[in-house]
Amino acid sequence: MLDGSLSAIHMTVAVVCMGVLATAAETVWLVARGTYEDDAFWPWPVIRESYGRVIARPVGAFASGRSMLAISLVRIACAIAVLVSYTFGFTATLPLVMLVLSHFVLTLRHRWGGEGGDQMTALVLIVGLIADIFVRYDTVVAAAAIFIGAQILLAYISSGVAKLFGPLWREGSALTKILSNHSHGHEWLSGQLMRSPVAARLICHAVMAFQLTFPLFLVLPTPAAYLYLIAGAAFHMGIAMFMRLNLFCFAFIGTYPCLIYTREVFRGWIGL
Amino acid sequence: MPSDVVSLAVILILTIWWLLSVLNQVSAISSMLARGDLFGLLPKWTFFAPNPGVHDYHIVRRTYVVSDDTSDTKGEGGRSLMWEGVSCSTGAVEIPFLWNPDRRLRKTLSDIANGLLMALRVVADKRDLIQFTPGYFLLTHLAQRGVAEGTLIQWAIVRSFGFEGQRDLGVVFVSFVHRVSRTSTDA
Repeated sequence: MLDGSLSAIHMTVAVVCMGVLATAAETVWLVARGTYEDDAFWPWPVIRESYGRVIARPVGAFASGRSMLAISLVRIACAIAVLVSYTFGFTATLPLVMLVLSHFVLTLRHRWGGEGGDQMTALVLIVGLIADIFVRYDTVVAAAAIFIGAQILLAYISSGVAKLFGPLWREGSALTKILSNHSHGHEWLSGQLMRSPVAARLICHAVMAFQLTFPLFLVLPTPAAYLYLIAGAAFHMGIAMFMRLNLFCFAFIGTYPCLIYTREVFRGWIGL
Repeated sequence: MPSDVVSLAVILILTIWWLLSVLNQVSAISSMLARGDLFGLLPKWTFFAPNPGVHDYHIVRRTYVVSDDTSDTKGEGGRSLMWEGVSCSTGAVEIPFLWNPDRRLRKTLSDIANGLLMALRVVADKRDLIQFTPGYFLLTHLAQRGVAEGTLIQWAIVRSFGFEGQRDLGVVFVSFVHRVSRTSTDA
């Protein structure tokens, strides 16, 4: 059981670290374009007014463009260090600590602009760190893997339930409208969906059905259950391809090893 | 410390964390929990639902050419220039799966715009109070970039839907008129 749970966590953290590499490189670009300067998009003298002195002072030490560059380079180095550590069987505690602490700093530094991929990335890194620190406690490692599996289950179910309350989702025009903007849209695909409202409605309802029935993954027998993972991977890759929300792909697909482990444990508990 | 106690403590923390995550999916509870969740450790997985974000947000500004009357501190005797866009892009290309740095800029703008619209509902007839929200500060700061100190400016949030040639545009927020001042860089 320990081997399965630890391998699952390592695979999950490794994929998530690839997402960290991509986003840290993006931050280097943003630093180079001056977006963290005091007269630019994320001016610390303005953002710090959102916090009390207890927060503002320590975060302020890392707020300049130069510090943001240093943080990004440290994140890149630590993400690579985690991958190397896992490959050669070393402890990854120190790079994971750095990744978690720097994530906290970045969250406070930006104040706005976080997305679901950032949330899942943070959860996985923190839980990966917990598993690394308590690696000799097999129950803790197993609980850590199940926690990640339970979070991705919660993500799909709550997203599906929320869509049930959305008139655009129920009527089938949500995806067409979501894709009809520059921020996360796709002109060609939105045009295709506008020309074919039946296909658009089918896709909306298919996404809702996938998310709402995802708990079946836990109880279905092996070949059928994995259709959910294939559908999920296609869903997230589609989001990366057409909406350019790239971090979702790494963060969410990355949780699947822990999800598979959670399924095995659950099926063991219920005698399947 | 006995391993059972350690295991139990960690499992308890993870269980509580997951249960709070479940509660955080409910909007009414989420707004209460958000006050204590400084680092965003309680995830909210209901993105794009129930009402998905379907718009682009843009910042526009205009400056005022003030009259020669020095007692006219609000520029009421002056005239405004044309509205112009405030760039919120680094010009990065977008590569699916790999590269999209500007998404964080756009998400920031979208978060601030939606926050301001929500705040407007809260302040209702005390609209003056909106000036003291962090998002308003930030957009005022952005709008005054490249404008001479002392100039009067006004900014607005424009929301668009669709692509060039068939875009719907609408102004969703207009700021008060402000005199440009540079933020102190003291820590």
